[in-house]
Amino acid sequence: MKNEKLLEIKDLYAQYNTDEDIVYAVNDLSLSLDRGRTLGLVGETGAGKTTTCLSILRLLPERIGEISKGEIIFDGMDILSLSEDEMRKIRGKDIAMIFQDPLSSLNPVYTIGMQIGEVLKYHGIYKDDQAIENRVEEMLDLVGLPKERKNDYPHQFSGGMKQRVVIAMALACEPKLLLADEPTTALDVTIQAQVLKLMNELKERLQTAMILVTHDLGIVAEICDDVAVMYAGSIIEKGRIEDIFEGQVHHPYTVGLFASIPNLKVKTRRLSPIDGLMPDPADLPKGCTFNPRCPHRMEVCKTEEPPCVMIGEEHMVKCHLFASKEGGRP
Amino acid sequence: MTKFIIKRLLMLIPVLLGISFILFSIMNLTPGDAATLLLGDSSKPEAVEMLREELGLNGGFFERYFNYIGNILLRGDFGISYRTKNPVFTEVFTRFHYTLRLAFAAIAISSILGVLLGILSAIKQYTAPDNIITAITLGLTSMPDFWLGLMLIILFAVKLRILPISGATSWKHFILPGFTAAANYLANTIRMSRSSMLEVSRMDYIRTARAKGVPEKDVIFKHTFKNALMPIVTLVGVNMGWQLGGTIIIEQIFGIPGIGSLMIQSIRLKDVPVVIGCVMFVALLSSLINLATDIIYMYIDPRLRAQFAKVKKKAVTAND
Amino acid sequence: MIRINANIDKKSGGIIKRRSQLASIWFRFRKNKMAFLGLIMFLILVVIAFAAPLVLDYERDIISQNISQRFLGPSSQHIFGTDQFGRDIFKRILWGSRLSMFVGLGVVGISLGGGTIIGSLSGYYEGSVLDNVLMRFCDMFLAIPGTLLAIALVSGFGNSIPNLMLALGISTMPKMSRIVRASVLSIKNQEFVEAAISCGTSDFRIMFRHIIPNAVGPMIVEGTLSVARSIISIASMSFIGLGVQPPNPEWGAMLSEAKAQMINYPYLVYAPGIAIVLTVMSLTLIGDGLRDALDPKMKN
Repeated sequence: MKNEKLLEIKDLYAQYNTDEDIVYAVNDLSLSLDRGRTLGLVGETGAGKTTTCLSILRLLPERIGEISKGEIIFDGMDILSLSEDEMRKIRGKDIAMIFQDPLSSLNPVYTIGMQIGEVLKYHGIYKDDQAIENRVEEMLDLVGLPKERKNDYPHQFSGGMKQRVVIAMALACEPKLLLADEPTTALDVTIQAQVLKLMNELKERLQTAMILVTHDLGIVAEICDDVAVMYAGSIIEKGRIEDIFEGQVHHPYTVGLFASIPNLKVKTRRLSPIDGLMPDPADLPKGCTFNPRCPHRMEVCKTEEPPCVMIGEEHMVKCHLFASKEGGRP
Repeated sequence: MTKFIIKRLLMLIPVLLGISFILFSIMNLTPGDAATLLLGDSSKPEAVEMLREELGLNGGFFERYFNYIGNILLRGDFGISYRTKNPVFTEVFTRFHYTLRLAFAAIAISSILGVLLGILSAIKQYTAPDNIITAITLGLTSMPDFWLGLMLIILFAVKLRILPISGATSWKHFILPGFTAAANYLANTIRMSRSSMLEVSRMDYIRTARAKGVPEKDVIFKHTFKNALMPIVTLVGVNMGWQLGGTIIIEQIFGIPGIGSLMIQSIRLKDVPVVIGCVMFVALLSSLINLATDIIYMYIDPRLRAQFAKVKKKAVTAND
Repeated sequence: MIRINANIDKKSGGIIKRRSQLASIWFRFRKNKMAFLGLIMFLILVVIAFAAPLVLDYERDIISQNISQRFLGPSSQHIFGTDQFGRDIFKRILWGSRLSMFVGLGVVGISLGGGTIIGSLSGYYEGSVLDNVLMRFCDMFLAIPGTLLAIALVSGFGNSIPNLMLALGISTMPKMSRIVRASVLSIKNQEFVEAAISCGTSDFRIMFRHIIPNAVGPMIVEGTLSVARSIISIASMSFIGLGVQPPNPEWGAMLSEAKAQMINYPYLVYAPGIAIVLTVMSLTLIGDGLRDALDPKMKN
């Protein structure tokens, strides 16, 4: 492979211009992803995870959503400078997305076979209809659905089966990058495990890179190679999975996040949630966006944006606490 | 499916009976009677009495109602017109094709134009074309149709002299009345198509289609439109039903001798059998149209189809 | 996107400011330019309707004929010209607003009153014999074209303004009943009503304390739009000679008189029609604006 780096996002800003005010959903976000690797994007609801994924596909809601600054380089191409038609050719073929709710992601009036075949048809990978049919059957087989069911309509499937259909649809063109936006949140816990396992297997097999959006740290631990923690529209800590789950140095928010999930091994009387609420993205605090809730708040946090501090080879923390350490390091 | 259709047809019977009873009551229990109205106020009481006898107006209310209904049910006889002495059936049928032509002209104009403008308005939401279409819609809903008719006559028949003022002898005679009758329904159809398209376009599966790389044209006409079609089909069906009975005033303005003109004449002269005959006919036809709409509905929406064709499920899905 | 927004809504409600429900409806209504325009138009019409008898004399300005002044086209003296009896069209139109508003409100009063009783009974006792009887009755009325029913009633009862109101009121009542029934049904199945039922509250109290107050919003919207439609129906009925009779300056009646002269004096039919359009438009804008303000999610 000529280029290890598949996706690179630099200083991305995205906002929603609503009637009442401007919502700053993504602020100064940078990340990169290598081919075949899986990045877990973690954070609370409203942290800007979905917006980030939609920005990569350039599918922010028309008129309201807007990428105001930044660069997205995918496979050597500057995505933000492509024409709408060039972008359309990438969607579904090179970058596919699985949305949160499989129950509403399928068009109720078309058969699932048609909906899977459609991706193949529009991207012209298979020339004749018979080849498309064969590929649809192959995909259904791959996700563990009987191929006779391709003529059925979405309402004839259960939630877990629909998500399998959605996965088949997303992977039909063997995309280089898969964006999975909380793919299991809407499913039963037992089905969740099955779907995740399936996604993981397929990803390995097709050598697809993936961004997995979730707020479930258990899923991250199981599947991801890298982790990025998002807060109020920017990444406040990122690194390899070991760095985040085991490393000693963490952003105070990450510490809070881990403390707020139950742990079977450590005996605690009660969980310790992070105090306060996510800031209103229409009215973000000055300085560090986490400062109103931070237990280690310093004067500088209220006025200045924290720097990105490299703790290890790939481990980054965006916090004033460690700024001095960077200076102190040889 | 057949069972569903039969059930719906059976449900029509009480409705038609109810209509006939309501109209029979209104027309018989209010002051004035057909014999006096036909002969005029100055006529001799003996003549009026003779005519009353002849028309069978002398019996009690219920006696006459049951006679009337009995004749319909047993002999398919809808009675004779008090005014012309012709069978009601003939009266209605000689007039009906005019109304039907007018209604179809109006439906064609309002549905085709309405759906197209509604879609255009939705895909250009908040831009100039959308604003213009919305303004036209507002104007059309706020306008009494008879006034629009008068305006069209002044413009096209009096000033420009390109279309006839009134009558019903050629297709040209149906253009102005057709547009006039279409106006309100056109506005409804535009509104409904627009909001239905917008509602569907916010659905997750539309976003999925975009994320799959489906071209915008197909996102709109394949994915959005087919889903947005259902409320539109219903509306067109309902419109068509209303159209048949709703052109009364327009027929008056444009001098079209359709069923609307017949109804007004007959109401004024208390020609009860004709009035009831007309209304029952209109009601029957509009119910059949509604039934047809529901059947079309099932062909669009697989979820409904599944409900009504459980047994034939395999056959239906195999045919797709 | 939707999730993000919902989140913000929650927060701005919780942290920034809490407006009362009425104030926030007013706030959203005022932000809707078209609805606000409709309100202003309507207020002007109301002022005209109330002020007309203060400035104009019915005998002298509205109905007295002046043959020497007939068919005068629009001029500075008569802005809309004079009709075939030499009466000033502008003054007649101003006075006509009284009739349209008065009769329109009367019609909606009747249909909303009847519709509320029928619809709430039927909705509250959903599935009962009462509900079935009432709804089948509505179906029958709905199967008769509305105009025709009104014509039959007016020609039966005789031409007069109260009879016209009654006829139009009755012919729109079935539709109103259906709307009220639908909104009662949707409220009835909400949890606060179930809670009230489980507390053993009487049917009467549940209906008047819990259901009707919550159904008021959609009923006001429907009522407003219904006044607009009624004004058109009134004009239509008067136009075919079955409503308000000349020399009353009702707009439809004016058009009916003008129709015969229309080919030679087309200006006669412009002004009354425009008056109807503006009145109906103002009410439609208010109704639509209220609907959006009451239920911001429905707005597209």
